[in-house]
Order: sequence, then structure tokens, then C-alpha cells
Amino acid sequence: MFWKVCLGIWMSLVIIASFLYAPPALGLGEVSRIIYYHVPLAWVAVLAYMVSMINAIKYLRTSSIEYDYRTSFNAEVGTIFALLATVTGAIFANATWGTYWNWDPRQTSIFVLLLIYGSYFALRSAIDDREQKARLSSVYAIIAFITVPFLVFIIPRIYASLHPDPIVNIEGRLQMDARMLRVFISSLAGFTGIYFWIYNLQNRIINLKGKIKGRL
Amino acid sequence: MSELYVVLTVTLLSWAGIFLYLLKIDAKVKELEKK
Repeated sequence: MFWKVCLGIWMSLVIIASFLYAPPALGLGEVSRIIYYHVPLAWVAVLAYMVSMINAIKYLRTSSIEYDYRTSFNAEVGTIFALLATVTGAIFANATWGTYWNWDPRQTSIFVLLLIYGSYFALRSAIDDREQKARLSSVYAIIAFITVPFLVFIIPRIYASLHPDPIVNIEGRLQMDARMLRVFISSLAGFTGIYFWIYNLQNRIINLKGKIKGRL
Repeated sequence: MSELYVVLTVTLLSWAGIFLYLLKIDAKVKELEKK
């Protein structure tokens, strides 16, 4: 419980710092503060998709249904966070480019990513047999994750985009004011903590489900 | 400046809501685990 309360206080401080401590980015103004939420949301989406892929591999090696639940759950969490990153990105786009959506390479790649994971859920809902569903969707989850680094990190850096330069640019250098960077890294840590809390809750619920099924 | 405080307040309230909701689920799961 202690670390959860600490996380609550930590995130509250990050929110306050993102508005009152960090300066607005040059040329972008106050709307640039969305970076402390938009990027960590996208980061958690990638993290959840990666954990989903790891659990899919574990399922294929052990055939333990718990790993399939974890694969599916992490794909859900990843998609929710990717959707939130898309929404915050669209808000930023509207404030800076004058439109919510203009098929910029960044927007197109996240859209393709959402379609790929949307197909994962469609595949799961199309199969009734539990084992077949788990096996096929695990294979799909592994293949789906292979596209994530390309769609999130590589393609948007290859094509010309209206999107601001990534924090770590193509030469591997950090481009950010020191105060902004402090808040940004704190936010990344906070959002990662939230993800692990959700993951911990889900694991405990899966264990409870297993115990209840064992009793019946 | 006042608009910044409005957005800050809304963000803080949203986080408080999410945080309390997670705490509530956590407490419920803990209760079930004890049973």
C-alpha cells in the first residue's frame, strides 16, 4: 500500500510541476505541456505490447492459460494507452497545425498500430475453442509486436513530418531544457508505475479466478 | 495564467479520480484474497 500512496503523491507532484515548474517549449507555447502526458502514454502502450508478446511466448512454451489471459490483458492495456496517446496527439495537432487529423506519418503509423491490435481482439472473439483461441492469438500477438518498433520508432523518423522532433533525435542526442527533462523523466517513471500497478492488479485477479475455478 | 490553473485543476482532479478508483479495486482484490 505504501508504494501506491507514494505513486499517488508522485504523480500529483508531476502534474503540478508540468504546469508550474517546467517552462513552455520554445515556439510551441503552453500546449507543449501535453508532452508530459502524450509521450509517457505512448511509452506505456509500447511497454504493455512488449509484455503481451513476452506472455504470448510463455503461453506457446507452457500452454498455461494464465499466460494467455496476461497476453490479452496487456494487449488491452496497450491499446487503451495507445488510444489515449492518439487523442492527446490530436489535441496537440489541433492547437499547433490547426486540425485534429491530417494523416501525418506519426498519425498514420499509430492508426495502423491500432488496426493491428484491433485485429488481435477480432481474432480472439472469432474463435470459440479456448485452446485454439489462445494458441492462434499468441502467435498473432508475437507477430503484432514485431511491427511496434517500426511503427512507433522507425517509420515516423524516416518520413518528413509536422510532428516535433523526438526527444531523442536521430543522432541519439537529448533535445530538451533541463527543467522540462526532469519533469518528463519523472512523468515517464510515474506512468510506468501506474502500468505496473494495473498489471499487478490483473495478475492478482487472474490468480483469484484460478482459485475460484479450482474450488468449483 | 488563470487558464493554466484551470487545466492544472482538471488534470489533478482526473488523476485523483483514477487514483482513488485504483485504490478501491486494490482494496476489493485484497479482501477477496483474504477470503
